[in-house]
Amino acid sequence: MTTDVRPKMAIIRHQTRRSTIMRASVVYFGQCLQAALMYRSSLAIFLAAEAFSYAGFIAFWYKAAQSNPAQHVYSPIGLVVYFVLVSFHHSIQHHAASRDLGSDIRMGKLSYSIIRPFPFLLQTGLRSVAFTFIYSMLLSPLLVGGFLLVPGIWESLSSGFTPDIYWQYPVAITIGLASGWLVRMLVGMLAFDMAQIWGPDTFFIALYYAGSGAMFPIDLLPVWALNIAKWTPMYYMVGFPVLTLMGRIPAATFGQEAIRGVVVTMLTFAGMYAMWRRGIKQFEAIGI
Amino acid sequence: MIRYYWNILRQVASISTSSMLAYRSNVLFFILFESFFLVANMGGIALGVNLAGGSLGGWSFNEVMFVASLFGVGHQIFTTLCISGLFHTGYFVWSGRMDYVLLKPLHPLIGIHAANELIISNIPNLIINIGIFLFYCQKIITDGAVFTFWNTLGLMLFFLAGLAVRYGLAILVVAPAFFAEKLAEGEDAYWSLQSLAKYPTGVFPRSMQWLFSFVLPIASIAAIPAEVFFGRQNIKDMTIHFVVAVVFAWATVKFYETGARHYQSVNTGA
Repeated sequence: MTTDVRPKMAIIRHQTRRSTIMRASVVYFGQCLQAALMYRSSLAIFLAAEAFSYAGFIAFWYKAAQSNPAQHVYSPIGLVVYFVLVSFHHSIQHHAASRDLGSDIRMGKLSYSIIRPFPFLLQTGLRSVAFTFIYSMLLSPLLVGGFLLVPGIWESLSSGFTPDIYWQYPVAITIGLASGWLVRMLVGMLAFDMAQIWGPDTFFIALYYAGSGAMFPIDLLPVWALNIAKWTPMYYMVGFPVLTLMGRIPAATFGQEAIRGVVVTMLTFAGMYAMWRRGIKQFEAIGI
Repeated sequence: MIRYYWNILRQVASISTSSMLAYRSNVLFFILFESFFLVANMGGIALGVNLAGGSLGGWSFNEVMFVASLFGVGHQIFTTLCISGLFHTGYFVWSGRMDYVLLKPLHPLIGIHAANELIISNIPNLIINIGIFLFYCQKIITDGAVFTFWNTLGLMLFFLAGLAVRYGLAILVVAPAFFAEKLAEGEDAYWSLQSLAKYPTGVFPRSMQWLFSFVLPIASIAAIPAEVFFGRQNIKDMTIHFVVAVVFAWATVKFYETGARHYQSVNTGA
């Protein structure tokens, strides 16, 4: 008598796959933490330079708001809050998913990664997620310290809090992180068709600076420009979560913006996945 | 001797042109990148000055944009001529390729530039930025500024000193690669630091003005040359700023040389 073992094998395969993904998550998390701690001098120089840069931004915008008391768009302290929050959100979006993915494809690493027992895209995704969480952990104390030590900025931020902020911000940051991971992966996918993706990657960075709110308060843009930015993933990477946390997005329009953010993120995913499907069919390891 | 260095320059230019032709798409993406970055940079400054009511810290809108456009020209010259060599230092040290650079009968900084490329594909951006600078020159002339021999000469001299400061700033963030296990973020650190140079000095609080004038003389990159041009610097201050810029650039070169002496090939921990 023979027994059909296929259902049991399917369960084992499913469990193995799940535990592999869990293990891989832990490994990537550990690798990322180790890299951040191992290359302390690199991290320290980067953070010091970023701190200087944001100090300059803040000084410029503080002076701008202070010079014109007649304007009621941003208070000087409100601009300090904006850039303190931007510095955190910008830093956790600083992962290199596009460069890593492009390099994996271009250098042929993809060829031996795809024979591993779980999806290659998940490896890239997990690396980015790990980076974001490690940097969140490393930078959160600085953010908290900033709010505790700089007089007036916590009061300014918390005065904009509403009961809705406790669900609105998690929604906004989730959309922001997802769109950031996906759009960088989309850029990395160009490596299937290009000798190198350095060019598109830098172009993406320029678009990011123009449309994310990392260089100026995004809601100061003219309405037409802001409406264009809202149809790009860049706006959701930094501007959307920061403005939400500051209570600068009215409750009546938050839902609409969040839905648009989800649509933009899903379109980014669809574009990325379509490029992946097309690229992987043409992929010839180091022969491309 | 001059002929010797001229030949090196020709070789680097020739290699760079070949690379540019191999990666033709870089020209397009450089233009796209710099155009949007320019929009973000200058657009952000324009938004700030508008928020301030049209002038900031005693600088009119067009004067602020003149400083920003001068910053842009320096940025493009530095990008075209220097970034490839300087920003490969970390990788060269980490991978042991610095061995080959140091074996050459050249100063290590000239050696690292000779071993890399000029970013010829950035030349269109340099031209665009010069165009924007000329546009704001025209604007400030309309506002009443006069280009005399002396203030133009001052502008050019201090602009060159500003380029030296830029170079020094880049060395300052890449040279620690000689002492670190692996330094990957030097380039990002440079871009963050130099971004402060596009504002007039007056927008910063006193302590930051002092810091950016005498310790990390970022103000010398664009703001001081513009102040010299507009006659807002007396002879004493001009001299001090010039000396500080030159000393800063010289000290960073010495720092690089110290790092190169400290270099122990692949045994640096790579």
